[in-house]
Amino acid sequence: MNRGGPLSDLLTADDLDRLEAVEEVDDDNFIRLIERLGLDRRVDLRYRDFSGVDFSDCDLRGCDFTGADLRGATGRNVEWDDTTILTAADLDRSMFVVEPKRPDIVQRLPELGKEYARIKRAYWTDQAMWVMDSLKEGIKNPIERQALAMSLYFDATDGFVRNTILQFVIHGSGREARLEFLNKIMTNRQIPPGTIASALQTFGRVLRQDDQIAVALLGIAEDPGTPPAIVKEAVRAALRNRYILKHNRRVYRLVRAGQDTELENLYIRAFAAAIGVDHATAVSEGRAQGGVSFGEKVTMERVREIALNVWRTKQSVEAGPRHEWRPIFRDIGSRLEFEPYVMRLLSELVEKGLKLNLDFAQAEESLVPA
Amino acid sequence: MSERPLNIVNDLLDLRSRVECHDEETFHLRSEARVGRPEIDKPVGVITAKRVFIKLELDGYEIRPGNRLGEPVKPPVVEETKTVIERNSSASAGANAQLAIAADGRPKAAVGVKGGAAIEGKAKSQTTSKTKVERGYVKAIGGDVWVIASIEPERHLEVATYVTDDEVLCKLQRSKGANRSAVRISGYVKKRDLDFVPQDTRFSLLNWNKKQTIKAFLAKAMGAQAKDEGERLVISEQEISNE
Repeated sequence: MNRGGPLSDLLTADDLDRLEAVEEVDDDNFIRLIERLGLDRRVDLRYRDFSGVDFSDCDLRGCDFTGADLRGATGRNVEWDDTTILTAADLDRSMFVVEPKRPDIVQRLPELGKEYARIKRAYWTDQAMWVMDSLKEGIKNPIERQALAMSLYFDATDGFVRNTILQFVIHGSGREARLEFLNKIMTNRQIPPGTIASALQTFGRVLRQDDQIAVALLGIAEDPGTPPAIVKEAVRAALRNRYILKHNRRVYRLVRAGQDTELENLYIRAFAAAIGVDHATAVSEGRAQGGVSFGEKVTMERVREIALNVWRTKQSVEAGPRHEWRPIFRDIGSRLEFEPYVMRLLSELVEKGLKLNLDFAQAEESLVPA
Repeated sequence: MSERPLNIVNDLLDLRSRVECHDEETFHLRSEARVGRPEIDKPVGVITAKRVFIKLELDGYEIRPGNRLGEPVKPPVVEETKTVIERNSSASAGANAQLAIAADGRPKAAVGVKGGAAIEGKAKSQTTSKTKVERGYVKAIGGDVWVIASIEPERHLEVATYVTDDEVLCKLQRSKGANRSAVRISGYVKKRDLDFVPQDTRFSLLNWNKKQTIKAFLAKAMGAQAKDEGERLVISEQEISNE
């Protein structure tokens, strides 16, 4: 009989192998992860915390989520039926979206009416689907497929077709291919900045999570030959990346040089979000990078702006599923409480090594809530 | 009198209890509850719990009323009301009756005038209330259960000893006619309260799905050794009997 012990003694060699495999794998599909971990969908999902999980492209049929915490869970094209058990599960703020597939659209087309816009849309959808099918089925060699996708992308005149091809590349290719594609789009001078902005939007989650993309975007932005409009798009996209604080100095320099309020605010938001995500990391990263150094004194007005941005971040975080990441925001009910809090946080960061040049004397005086 | 406790995951919860004979009729149940954060190496991280529960099952004993540790007795609200009534004579009312300002700042028509005599009465009341609440980590709840939770809601428990042997968890007395007495103390966590906190920042910033599935997996791994009771994982058990 087991007489108890530390957790490490309870885990078998097989358990450790499974954990290691999950850590290493470049896949975050929920069903594939639970399969790797050997979790039985009929038993092992009950009463668990799956808040904020992305169930996209998962077949949840047969999953028993009895009593599970599914708050803020999301998913696109999730399959479920009456074998998916959600008894007593907490589904607050969860959101699932179904994206129509081609046969569905073709069947529904006559019923949708004859409005020009819709027909046009359906036409382009069809074109895009045809391109997708051709790429998937017709070209087996990934390098050739990549080259063909790229040519088609640059030849396409419709934004929807372009984005569909791009989605195919983003989700159907490896990391290097994605990066190459991004680089080609960003450096093609024929493509207008609006199209590039749209393409960067299409990168979505990949853009947020891939460190290498942030590096590539910064490289493009730093290139003296890059037009200012593209620089702005590149920096804006880079600021959405979760790893952006690793490249503090570079991105800060670009933001300062851009003299663009939107970018500046995005930078502060990224910075504040990073503080919230993991205070210690922000500090250590800041230190490792030689500190975040603002060129000017940060005045009271700036602190208020920072506070407002952090406050907005807090609100968006609370609206989203992953509020657990930012425990420092707890128990702050109003902006009046929040401003002095941000002030304290910033001064703490200064002490710990981030070189924020704050005008504290002035700020402290004016920050006392009325 | 006591049997050794079985702490399945002793780096998450180490719960040890003893029953001390205080006098002929009273027994003191003393417990020590240490809450920790077990570590795993791959991916590097710790397991934390939001709450830990201690449950008693008594056989031949009863808890003496009013003797539980962390009994959250709702304090009465002390409310003070102060009423001030001002009365004016008819003569002065005549002078003041042109316009009065209401409490909300809007001007209001003057007081009623009847037969040349009027009385104006104004009542002001002020109410203040005071409530003093003590917030502790250990709270006694129904069903002979104690819950150990962080004072901040939703926060995970720090590594600490939350119940010490110095304090009496509860005072017991023998049930009438019982010839055997035993206390069964179990410690459990709810699966939803367990969390995996990655220590590798690269991991923590990415892979939310991985984090959540790893949590589910670790709860399963614990459940293989512990007693799995639906939403609960019983990770500590001890029975103290007195034949």
